[in-house]
Amino acid sequence: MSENTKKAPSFREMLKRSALIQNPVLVQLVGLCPVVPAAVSLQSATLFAGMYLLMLLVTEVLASLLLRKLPRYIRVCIYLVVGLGMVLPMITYLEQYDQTILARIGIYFPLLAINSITALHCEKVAVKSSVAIAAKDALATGIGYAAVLLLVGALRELFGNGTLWGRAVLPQAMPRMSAMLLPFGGFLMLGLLAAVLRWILHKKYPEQTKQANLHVSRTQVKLREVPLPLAERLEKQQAQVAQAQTEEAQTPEVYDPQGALPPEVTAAEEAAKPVSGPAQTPPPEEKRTDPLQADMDAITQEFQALMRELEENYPGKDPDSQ
Amino acid sequence: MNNWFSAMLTTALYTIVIQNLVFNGAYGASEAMRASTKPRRFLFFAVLLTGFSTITSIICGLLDLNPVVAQWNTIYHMLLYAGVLVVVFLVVALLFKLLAHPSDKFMSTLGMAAINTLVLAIPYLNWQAGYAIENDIGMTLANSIGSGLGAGAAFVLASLLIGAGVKRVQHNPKIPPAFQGIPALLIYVSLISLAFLGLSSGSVFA
Repeated sequence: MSENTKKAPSFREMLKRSALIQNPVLVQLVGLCPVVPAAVSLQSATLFAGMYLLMLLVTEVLASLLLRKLPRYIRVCIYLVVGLGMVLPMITYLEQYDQTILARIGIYFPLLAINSITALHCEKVAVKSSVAIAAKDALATGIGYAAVLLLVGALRELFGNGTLWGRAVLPQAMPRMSAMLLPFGGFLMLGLLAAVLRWILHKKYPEQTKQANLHVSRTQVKLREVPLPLAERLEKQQAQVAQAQTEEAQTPEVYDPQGALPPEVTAAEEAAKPVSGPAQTPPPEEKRTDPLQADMDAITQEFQALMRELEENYPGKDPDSQ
Repeated sequence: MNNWFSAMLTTALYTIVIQNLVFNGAYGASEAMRASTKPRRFLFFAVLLTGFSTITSIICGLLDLNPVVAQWNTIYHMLLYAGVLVVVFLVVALLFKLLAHPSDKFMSTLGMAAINTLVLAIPYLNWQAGYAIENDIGMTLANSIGSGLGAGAAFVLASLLIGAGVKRVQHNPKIPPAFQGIPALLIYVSLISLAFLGLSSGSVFA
């Protein structure tokens, strides 16, 4: 293996990343549709979880194997068709054997075929990776999604009905929050689970969550590095300015009064010059002058000229007394 | 004509307020949350989504008038609606490709606006609500158009409400660290959903 070849991530790493750090529902906010309205019992959640895991696996493997060369707008239609092709036989089976659960899941089961997680992962991972990586990604993401579905379904059934898998768990005297079975309860449960996940990730994987933190900004919701707060940025800027000033103060200022003048021609260099033609008198030695001193001399001469003029015009008298 | 207009308006208002698809059904909730934080692309995305939902709703509503189709069960109806959506999307995409030479980003936005739960749910909900009235194409069209436009308006309303909440929730130092960001946003959306639940006479406790 060459140094440039990237090592394929292990399934454990992908599971940690896709299911925990970048959980599709609780971090990336995709695939909310069946979770919020339809995961109202452990039974329905199990059905959704199992079906979607299988659907995502088949779709990603198919995308990796066959769909790379197709344009994107055709690929998304194929994902929908593949999803429906898997969901609808399941609906046929449920219609024959378990109509109760079918009545509960309603339209949301067929809508699994159009789940945004499928398109997102197929486009981001499957069509750009090998079949093995696509399969691992599908399993990892599907497990993360299934975990959220099962948790939400179980908790909503428990608080909404007092049951778990259809069996009574809570005492009858305890009031039931029927609103937990509605979308309000779904959003609320997801918010609480997202907070718990965020707390766990910050404790266990602080560096990775800092890099993969979902930043809800005014312009977009995406995974990116969280910027430093304003106070920290100002402190950093001030420290840089202070360091620059310190370095500048430590560097000695070199005053070169002769920098603008031509270099002095020494007598040795002058004697080394070849003499051509009749002997020529050497040019007078150039007097090196300081530009500042030259200015001062000019000012002094002007002052002296002014004083002479005043004395000629007003002899013996103090010019200030007039 | 007045009846058609009032039917269209009533259906649209019902879809926006009573049966707000985003808050009462979580249809297109992911897209609404993402669109709310992209102010530059939001209007364009909403227009595309409304267009697709209206066109799909009209075509599926007219197909539901067919006596053969009216007798189909859920599975065949879902296949039909998905097929109509795919055909509409491909036609629109090909038209754009041939006439406008759009960028990849535009085509990606087009795909997201078409292939989502909100657009596919509209014809199914119309079928369940019985909007396809036998021997009355005008009323069927009015209901379908109202439903499609109402879905787009519901999406816009949801995105604007979510966007307003995002600005307040995003950098609020009073929110505990574990709840900052996505958790606070989801709880905020749950409160909006509770408000819409009240409009549809739901109850919190049994």
